[in-house]
Amino acid sequence: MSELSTKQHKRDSNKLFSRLRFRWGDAVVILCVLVAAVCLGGMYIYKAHQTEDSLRVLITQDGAVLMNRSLSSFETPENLTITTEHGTLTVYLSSSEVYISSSDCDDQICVHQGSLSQAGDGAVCLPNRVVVEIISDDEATEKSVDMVAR
Amino acid sequence: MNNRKTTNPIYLLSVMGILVSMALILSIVESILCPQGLLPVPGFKLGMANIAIVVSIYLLGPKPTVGIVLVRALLLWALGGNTIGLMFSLAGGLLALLSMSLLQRLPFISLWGVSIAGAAAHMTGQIVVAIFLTGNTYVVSYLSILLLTSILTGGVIAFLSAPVINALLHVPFVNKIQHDIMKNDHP
Repeated sequence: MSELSTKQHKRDSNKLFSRLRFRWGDAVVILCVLVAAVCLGGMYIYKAHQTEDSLRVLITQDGAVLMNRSLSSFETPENLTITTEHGTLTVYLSSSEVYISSSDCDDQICVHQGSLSQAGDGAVCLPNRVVVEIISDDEATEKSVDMVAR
Repeated sequence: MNNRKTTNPIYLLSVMGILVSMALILSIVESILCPQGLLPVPGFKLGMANIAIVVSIYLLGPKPTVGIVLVRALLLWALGGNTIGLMFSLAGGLLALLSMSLLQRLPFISLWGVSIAGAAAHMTGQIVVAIFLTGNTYVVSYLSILLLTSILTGGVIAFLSAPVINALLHVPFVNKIQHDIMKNDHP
């Protein structure tokens, strides 16, 4: 009796073993993820290569706009220090590039993000809830409408 | 309904406990092996704790796995005290669980597809939380890189989970529990 049930277990487990081997459905899943990734990446590249005649830098903290200025208005490089309830970070701003030069957060992901120079580029500091991004002019008007609506 | 004597729920509970502790240990081992900030892609993680989740989906089915995901997230929060981390792991974990338990029911998708879909859903859930936290949709563009890495990490997780499932099925009472659950799911 007990021997019989062990055999039965073995047979059922074999059904599970066969589910560990690669099937054609897996290729479909991989393809779906790839397509989603390529679509999102394509959207991002399309955004970045939009007209770059007038770029603006937008800095927000917790969704509130701290700075929305045209990049070309920085004739001499400036350093902006942002102090939040979570910490302090410094943003380097010049007419050609913007980057977060230092931050006292643990992970330093925003600092490693490096130089931002094209529309769509951005650096996010989650611990400080600060977002620095480069936007094109028409996007800036859209954004301000959103801010008002909120 | 079921004339066969079902397994004592204590056994199910003990297997769930083993899987929760496995998930916790794997999270901690991973944070020691690859600390955040050293990697070329920020936010990129192997998500080794997913091994326990994938194993649980196959051995115990979706329902007990919900418990494992929740307990793991809460314990990790209690040990590390990272509230933002809790939100990330809950959103990612539950979305991954949902997609994995749906795909696992399809006969033509194996452990590999389930694991990759889980990794991709995990990333998506985390990005949704990031959008919610920063109030900014910029982070969406980052999702495309994370989705590409999730194919790789999902594959690695599947590769590592298969022998674990294999080994656990050779433990008699785990095999018995799995047998009972399968019988209830597909009568």
